[in-house]
Amino acid sequence: MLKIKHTETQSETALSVYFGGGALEIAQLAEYLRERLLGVIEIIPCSSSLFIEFHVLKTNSDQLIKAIRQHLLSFEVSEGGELNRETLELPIYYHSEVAPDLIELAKQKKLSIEDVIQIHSEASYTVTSLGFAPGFAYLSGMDTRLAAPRLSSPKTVAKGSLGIADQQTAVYPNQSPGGWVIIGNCPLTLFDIDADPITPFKVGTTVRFKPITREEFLAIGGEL
Amino acid sequence: MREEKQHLKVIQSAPRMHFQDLGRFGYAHLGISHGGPIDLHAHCWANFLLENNPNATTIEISIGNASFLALEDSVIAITGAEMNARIDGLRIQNWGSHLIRKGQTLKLGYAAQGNHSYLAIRGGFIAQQRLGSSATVVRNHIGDYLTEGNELKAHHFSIDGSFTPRQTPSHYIPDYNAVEEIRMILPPKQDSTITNKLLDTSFAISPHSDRMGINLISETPLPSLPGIISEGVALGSIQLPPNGHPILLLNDRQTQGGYAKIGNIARIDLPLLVQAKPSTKIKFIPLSQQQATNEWSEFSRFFAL
Repeated sequence: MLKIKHTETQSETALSVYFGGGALEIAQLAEYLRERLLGVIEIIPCSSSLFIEFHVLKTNSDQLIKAIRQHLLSFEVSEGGELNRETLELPIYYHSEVAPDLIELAKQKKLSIEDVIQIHSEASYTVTSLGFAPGFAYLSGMDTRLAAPRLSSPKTVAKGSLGIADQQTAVYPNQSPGGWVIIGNCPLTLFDIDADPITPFKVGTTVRFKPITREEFLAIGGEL
Repeated sequence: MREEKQHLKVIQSAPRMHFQDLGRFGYAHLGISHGGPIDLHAHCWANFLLENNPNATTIEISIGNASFLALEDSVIAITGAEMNARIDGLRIQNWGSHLIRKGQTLKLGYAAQGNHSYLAIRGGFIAQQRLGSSATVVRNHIGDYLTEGNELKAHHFSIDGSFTPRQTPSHYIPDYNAVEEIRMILPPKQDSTITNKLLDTSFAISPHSDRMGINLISETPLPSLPGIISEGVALGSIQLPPNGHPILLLNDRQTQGGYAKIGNIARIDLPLLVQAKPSTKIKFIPLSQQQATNEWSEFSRFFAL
């Protein structure tokens, strides 16, 4: 059950509501509120908070916090909207020719590359939030044996790069600056502004990774 | 429906020049940045002078040195950075609306004051709408820079000779060379050591700044603060990365961030901040949440945002 720990006004037009955990429930609440709060521009579910941006002439922080507290009561009763429980299987080419940090990670962890691939692709992951870039989905559920800190300075990361940062894993939908440890590449398009939906990820989506060969990677449209 | 026509052709493009409307709202939960004019004040005035909707698409021209050939008679407005605009060699006033005849050339020089200029056209430029907005966010791979040869469309208005130029009243025109103090909202709960240091320090605007954020440099870095669990970040958020040099988040910022937040620039002062030249020294002045909200409401009401 979600409990508001505290709230904080961020600017003239933004506020955060902190729950101290419960990413999936927060995402559910965000969808519930999306159709119910007036004067709101954005509702962003984060891993332990909700970020709300509003129109300064239509509402204010106090009004919104009051409304959220009320909606939270009815949300608990109705258990909110349906949480997305789809499973998405993403093909991944785990190889140093597309993954600059794969060999180094294996070395650091005293694992063979095959072990890294097996450990990473055996687990089942859950999208806990979307952010950083369009269609960038933070995934929880990674085996702690692969946990690795971000690189000390960001570099240019290729489209489709599969990365690790601490205990999270994620695919970069587009080329971008990034500091995650890159261990593979997904040849699928994960963000297309002209498609519907524009990204296959939603908070709550289960994600599994399937190792593929170089030939399969190229056949699906992967680029070396 | 009015007829659409190619109105201007890009002859020379500035280093960064792209379409903007008010921004792309309602998709931040998918990681999509708002975009929108980095100087909302100048964008709004450009549209206001032409009696356009504030959401009408303008062209944001950064750094300067751009030229356009008029393919039709058009009414345009120029606001923001002083780029010494000329039509066929004759100086035209910044913060004003102007008539440009078919075959004439509009030329903007390098920004002498400020960084970003806005070019609006009566009725707004017709640009591709993506998720309900024409805002270009290059880092989101939505839209792209305008380049030489691009022909820019607008609705056709017949110009019957009764064109009356309009000008922004001088007291609304900021002096971008005089930016020294930027007002900010302090977080309700904050270590007073950080707040005092933040308010005491003179910061220089780093040349390594862009539409995502402005980097500040000071002789002595601010004390290091631990990161936070990633959460939503507001426009103007003052982030403090471990190196102690603050980053001010702007329109193309990522939707969530994990650096410590030590305040938020007052939205009403953001246009001054983004127009201050690199290396400009600034100091922060605290502004109450209420006062900031009042001023922002007034701005929003004035331009019917």
